Amino acid sequence: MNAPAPDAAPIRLEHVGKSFRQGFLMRRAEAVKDVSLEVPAGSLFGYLGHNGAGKTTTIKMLLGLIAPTKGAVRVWGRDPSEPVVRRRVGYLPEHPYFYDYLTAREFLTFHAELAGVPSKTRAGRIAELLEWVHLKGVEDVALSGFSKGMQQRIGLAQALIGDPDLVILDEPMSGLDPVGRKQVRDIMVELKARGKTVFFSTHILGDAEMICDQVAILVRGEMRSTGRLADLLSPRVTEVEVVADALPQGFALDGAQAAPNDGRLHFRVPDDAAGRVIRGVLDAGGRVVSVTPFRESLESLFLHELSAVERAG
Amino acid sequence: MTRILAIAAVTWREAVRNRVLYSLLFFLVLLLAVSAVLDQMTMGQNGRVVLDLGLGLVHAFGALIAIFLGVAVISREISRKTLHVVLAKPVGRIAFLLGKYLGLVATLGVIVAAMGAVLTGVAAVFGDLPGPALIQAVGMIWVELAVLTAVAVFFAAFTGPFLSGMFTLGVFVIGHLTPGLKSLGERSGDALVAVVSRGLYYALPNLETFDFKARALYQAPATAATTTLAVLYAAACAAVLLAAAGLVFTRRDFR
Repeated sequence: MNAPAPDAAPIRLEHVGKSFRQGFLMRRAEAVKDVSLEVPAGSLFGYLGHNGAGKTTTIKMLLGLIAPTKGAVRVWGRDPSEPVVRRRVGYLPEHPYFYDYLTAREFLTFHAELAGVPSKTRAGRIAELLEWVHLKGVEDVALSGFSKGMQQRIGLAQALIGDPDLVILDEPMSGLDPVGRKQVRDIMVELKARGKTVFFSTHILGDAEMICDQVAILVRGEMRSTGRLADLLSPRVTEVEVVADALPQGFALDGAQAAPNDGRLHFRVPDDAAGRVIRGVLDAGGRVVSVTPFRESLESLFLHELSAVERAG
Repeated sequence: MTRILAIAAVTWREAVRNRVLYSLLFFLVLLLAVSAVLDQMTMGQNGRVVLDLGLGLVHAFGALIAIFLGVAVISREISRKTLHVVLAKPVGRIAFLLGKYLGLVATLGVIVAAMGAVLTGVAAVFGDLPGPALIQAVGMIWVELAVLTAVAVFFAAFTGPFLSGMFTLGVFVIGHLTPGLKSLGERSGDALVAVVSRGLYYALPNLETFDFKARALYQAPATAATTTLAVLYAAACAAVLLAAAGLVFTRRDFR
């Protein structure tokens, strides 16, 4: 059996669809519809979508856990159902369920054996990973005694045990506290810095916007947008918020809605109207407290795509 | 092979850390003690009641444990989705099943050996020291359990734990009745009954092949050829069942 092509894209989906038979009448339900995307090597790629959008189904197709109904799934240029392809892949599931009767060390040793880590380097690799995921000192604790955050981090360690070139993480930040989320984000950024490709699904758009360089948006199984964040989100300022105080009672400006808050007036106006508002405030003897520009966010893009699908029915 | 052995080792750990197993073993020791009391109440048997009841108990408890472990180990992997992270590694699905199977058979080997040792001790206290025929009978119980485990793995590869357990129990019961079923069909005079009973005889493993208990009672060990044939028959049954399980398992979606 040939090794995966080293220069092939880590992930390539070509018109991929997956449907399942559901319910008593075994009706066919489409979980993923005609999805095409390519994940470039070395990118930190966010696969975004609401709950039930088809993210986990796509990820399971990438791992060969489920077969696509139509289209082609390629990981490093090959069919992911071939075990050899998965030598270069690490995976963390959405709800990590592990053998909870094993200790952390036994668990990672087991996964190191599966991933083909040589026995000579195994102990060192396990120690390094436990330190990286902030689990040093609990090597001999059974996983049944681990909290949700610890389970997530030991799951991350097993995903990375074989030093994979492609790391696939399904909702890696879900259920974590802010500290845990930051730790996971930092690990993902570090993986990218080490030249790895990170593909992760999330519905937490703030996290994705913070670290991703490329995203794909999935709505009800359909791919709505994909590309570099810089290309998808307009750099243009869409709105400006001007906050002012010390204004005379009943102050108003034509065409600019103002909302009072804590004795101040908050004007939210289009970018080209901001100058007129500021001049108006100053002319009336008021004081400009702050001027905040707003650009298109991932959240607004996502909501736009979602509402477009809902309108289409 | 390293991966298959790693999965087998984890399966062994899972089995030996299962508390239900120890409850069953405790119950077995209790019943062996009862059989020893019964032996004392029977005149002139020199430990034969202990041996007879004891081998029957080792057989029955072994079968229960094999069905319980065989079904639970595979079904839990699927229902708890613990196999997802294993199959996401460079591990083939057939290798996964083989690893699970080998781990279970090794676990059953240790359990049967432990039960056999307890039985030998009790039988030695209440009668003559049992000879090689007992070791042979206990060994063949393990061989039978290896076949039964393959049946459990086969059913667990495509059905839930309850159905897998029931089907495997059914195969265990019918597997001990197949020789009788065949002759019953032949004697019935009905062509359809004869065909069905002959079909069952050939389709299901004949578990009576592995019953060496009577030989242990009368200290008459089987020849090497007989035991070798029985072991080869068991290996063939297990291979067919595991191949069928692998065929189903490789085509299955793990959602």
